[in-house]
Amino acid sequence: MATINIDEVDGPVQFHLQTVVREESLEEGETLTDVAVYQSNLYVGTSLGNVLHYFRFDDSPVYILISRISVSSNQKPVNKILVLELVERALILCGSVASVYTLPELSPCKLGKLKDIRTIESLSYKEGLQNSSNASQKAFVVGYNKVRIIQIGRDLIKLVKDVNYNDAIDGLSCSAKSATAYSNLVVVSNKSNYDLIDLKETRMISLFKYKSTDDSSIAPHCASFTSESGREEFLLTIHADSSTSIAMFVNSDGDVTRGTLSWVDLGYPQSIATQWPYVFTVMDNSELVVSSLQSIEHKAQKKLEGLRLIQLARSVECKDNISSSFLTTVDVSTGETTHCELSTHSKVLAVTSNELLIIHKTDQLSLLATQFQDLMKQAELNFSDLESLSERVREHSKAVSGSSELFCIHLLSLICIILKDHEKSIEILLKTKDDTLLIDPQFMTYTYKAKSDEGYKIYQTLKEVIDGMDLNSLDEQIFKDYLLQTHRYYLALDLAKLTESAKKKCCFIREMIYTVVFTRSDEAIKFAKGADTTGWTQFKKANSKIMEFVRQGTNYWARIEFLKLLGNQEQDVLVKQEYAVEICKYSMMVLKGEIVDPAFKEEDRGALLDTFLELLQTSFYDEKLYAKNLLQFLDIDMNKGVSFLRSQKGGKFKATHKHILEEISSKYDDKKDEIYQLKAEFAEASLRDDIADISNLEDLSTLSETLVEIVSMLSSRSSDAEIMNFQILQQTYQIENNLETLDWPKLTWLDYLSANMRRSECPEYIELYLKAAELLIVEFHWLQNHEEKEKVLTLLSAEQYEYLRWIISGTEMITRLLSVGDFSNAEFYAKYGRLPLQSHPYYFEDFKERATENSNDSNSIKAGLTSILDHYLKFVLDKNGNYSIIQMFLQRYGEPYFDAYDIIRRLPELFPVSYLQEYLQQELLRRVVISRHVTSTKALARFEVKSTSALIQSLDNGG
Amino acid sequence: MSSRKKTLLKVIILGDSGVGKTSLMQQFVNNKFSHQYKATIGADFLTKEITVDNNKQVTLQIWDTAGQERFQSLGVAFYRGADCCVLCYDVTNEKSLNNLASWKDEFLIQSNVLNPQDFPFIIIGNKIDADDSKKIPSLQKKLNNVTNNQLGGLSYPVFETSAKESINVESAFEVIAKMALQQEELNEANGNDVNDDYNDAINIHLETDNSGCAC
Repeated sequence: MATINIDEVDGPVQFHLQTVVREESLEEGETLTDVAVYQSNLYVGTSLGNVLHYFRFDDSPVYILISRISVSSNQKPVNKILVLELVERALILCGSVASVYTLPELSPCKLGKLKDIRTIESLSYKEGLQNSSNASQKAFVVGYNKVRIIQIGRDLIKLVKDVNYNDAIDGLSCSAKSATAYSNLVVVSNKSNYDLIDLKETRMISLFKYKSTDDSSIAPHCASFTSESGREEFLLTIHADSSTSIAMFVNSDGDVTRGTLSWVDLGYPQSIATQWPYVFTVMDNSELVVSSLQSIEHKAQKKLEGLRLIQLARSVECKDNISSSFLTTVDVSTGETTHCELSTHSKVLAVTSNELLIIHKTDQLSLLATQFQDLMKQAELNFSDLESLSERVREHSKAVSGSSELFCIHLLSLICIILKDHEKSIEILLKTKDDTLLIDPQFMTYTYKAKSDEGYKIYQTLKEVIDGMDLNSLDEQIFKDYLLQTHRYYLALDLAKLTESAKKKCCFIREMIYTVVFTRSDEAIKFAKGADTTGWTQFKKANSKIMEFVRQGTNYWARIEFLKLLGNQEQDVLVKQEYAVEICKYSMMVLKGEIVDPAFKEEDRGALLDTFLELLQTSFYDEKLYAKNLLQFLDIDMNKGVSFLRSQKGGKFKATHKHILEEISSKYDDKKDEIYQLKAEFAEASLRDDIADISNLEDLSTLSETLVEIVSMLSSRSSDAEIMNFQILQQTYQIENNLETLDWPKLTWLDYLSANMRRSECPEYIELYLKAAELLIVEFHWLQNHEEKEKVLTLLSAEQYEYLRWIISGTEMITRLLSVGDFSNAEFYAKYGRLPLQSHPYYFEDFKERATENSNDSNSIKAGLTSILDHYLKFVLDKNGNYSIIQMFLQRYGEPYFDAYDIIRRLPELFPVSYLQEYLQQELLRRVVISRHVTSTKALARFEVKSTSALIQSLDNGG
Repeated sequence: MSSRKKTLLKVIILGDSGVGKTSLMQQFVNNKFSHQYKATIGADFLTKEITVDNNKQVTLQIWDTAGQERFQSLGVAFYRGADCCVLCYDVTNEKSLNNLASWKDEFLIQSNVLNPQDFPFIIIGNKIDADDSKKIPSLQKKLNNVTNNQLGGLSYPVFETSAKESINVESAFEVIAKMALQQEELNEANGNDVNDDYNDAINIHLETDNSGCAC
């Protein structure tokens, strides 16, 4: 493959000679002569009268020989293959005889032959002429002494016009003008001259001679092209002398349009072809010369032996090997390459004896990419050239589409990165088409040698450059900003409309941000909780990789926070707990200073402790793991831990909490009171739960335990002030509640405490006292459970707890209660043999009635009440008390526990009977009622006996 | 056969090889002069827009032709449609002066102009920057002789110029432009159909058979 380079003011231009077909099956001495194109068919004539029919399939980059047709019985060379598209026929000129064949398969048409022909050319027609079943197409035939216009239909050939023209050699049709369907003008040549013939008017204008000698080897060459003005021009070669030749340019009016093009010391052209703005000529000396039709200067020349140029009416299209090679991609992990096909086309062909080559202008993409490669190979980067190149790449990218555009965008981005042009780099990297980023984020990560996933394919050309680049020469900030802006781009898109590929790319970007952009924990956490909040929930696939990365590093704080984010969105409780365990483990290590995260500051400690506690509360399901972590936390921060425990009184893991409290109570002596209180609170919470669950007090399982905790806590309070205040309250109670006042019923000691608690100076102490009393009453009086008796008695050995000890022992209760003035409870105890709860109990509100469910037997009640009455009488007599005390007692208990005889016998003789009047009247009335009842009962009994006897008698008589 | 726009004036520079035709054109159009001689092969042209008669804008299309004889057969193509012809000689080359008449005749024959006697010619003697010793002795006399005897006694404007020193080049082309414009206007006034593409065409024999097959 040959290359021809041309330097133009606006950049280099390059032409490639690329093989279209190389035919190895030619016979000896057989060479390629002419070429024609029809759709995807390529017809190549040979010097031995064969036509090789090639076809390019849609999925094939090359032309494949599909048939070899002999069109000459006597092996005359195929001089011309003229494709007549409108009628789908081909005129093939072999030697001097032309025959018609069908297209595309080249079956012979039995339409006869055209003889004595120099050449045949199609007569130019206006674009837009349709081919139809009855269509025809005109051509002109250059005979030895005539120029003939013929009309070819599908099934016939007609002669339209004969114009005499002696010694004709060659001819070329001018383009059809707008007024006519077919051109009327042809440029023809004879053995010495070029002429212009108006076929319509049958007039000829002589242009000029093309040689001044009789040398028959000098052949006229005429090529047409369309200039910048859009007008058709003809290039006509002229032989000046043996070493020099020139070309004249005329239009269809015969006017000279340009200066002459000269080939000095190059001889005379052997073949010629044009492709605006260049003309290609193969000279006598095998030089391929490329000249500009604009500047009329030679631009390049190259020695290429055995080459002959052919100008086609229609372009040949084939794979552009050079440009395609730039689009080859390579899998970064496997090295496997994938080829891409870019097509090129040209009307200029070159043939050798057995090879057909296309001369095509090198795609600008190839030139730009090559220039980039060259610039990057230089020892010192030339930034000025790179900048200039970037502008050209940018311009070219706007002019192309598809795979070329994509390559240009990649190339441009790489140049901008190398130039450290932050703004342009980002702008290009974020270019989108149809809501898709044109450049895969992995291109950037590969460029910055960060990471590339398996399966990512990068342009091989660019990869080679990137592989040779020093990472330190790049601006890392471009990479970081690119990642962040790409992240923003993806998160702004509608998630529902994102393709799987886009989601994958966003995940990749997220991964890269955490591994490249945010290298400190505080930055990463801020991003995760800010811009990337939705990233953690919507683009989850990256989460595991982010965690994998962070687990490998020392950003422990980030690790903790990321795990927390994962835990928050996790539905599986066991996985959630796994996250929590890991968080707690690393939190503990960070808090203890066992591991150091440089970003973690002392002021962040509180937040981390809170995180720990939050997880303990929400994410632990295994009690052992919970206990282990809670104990560790208490080790770190007892205050927060205890507060946490207090907040968890009503929560789960009560047993664990109690166990922990037991464990720590001995360990932390300075927190003894607080821990006791906490233990009591936990016990209380358990008891309350227990009470809520049962219907019988006997089913309680936590009472004893709670009692011990409450009593323990009460006994642990040894403040003198509290004790003194309490004792003052005791004394005040006895004074306020004595028998001298006639208020009745008297307040019990416990209700008195309850009533005065808030205004006392030791409310907490009293509350504990009352709670202990309530629990003691239920435990020892109601349930008669004495398991913890000794322990509790020991705890309550202090003087001020005498009343509580009485409750426990349960002996001489009436006497003891009377001794402290708790008259109501003494009377209650006499009646029921147990104490009642205070009016507003803390725990057993719903079981208050239990106190009165079973009363003592009447003898016991009477005995108890008698002792109380004796106590009241003694007070009345000894202390000159009010007789009303006795009067009121008898009103409460006189009937049914005492009869008048007993009372009268116990009262002193001087006791005023008036205080007994009411009692005695009731007693009398009771006795009358009893007497009447006995009489009535007897009468009824007698009547019943009498009635029964009568009935029996009646039955006997009747029976 | 011309269909040029009429503001375009075609000027042909003729003369022996080496008289400085290319240099005159380059100096006038591009204000450049090259010391290196390079023979013109075939022809080339440059264009320049100038204002004539104060307000008339015209484009001069100046054709620089090859002075070598071997290219003279191409003249017919270049001369067609010319509005003015510049006959150049070298003031140091007497032969070039003497050849002016043949250049004029060649032009008139090949250009096929309708009224040869009225066609505008201008004579330029170039290279006046040369040493006097090198100049043609009795130049004026010989020039008069050429114009009177060989050029038909017509009084064509004569300019002596130096393309090298840019002497009189501008003035000469101003006159050339005016003369070309006048010729152009005269053609219009005479109703000469410059758009007749085939005014120099010849009829060729026709054989027609519209119905027969050519086989």
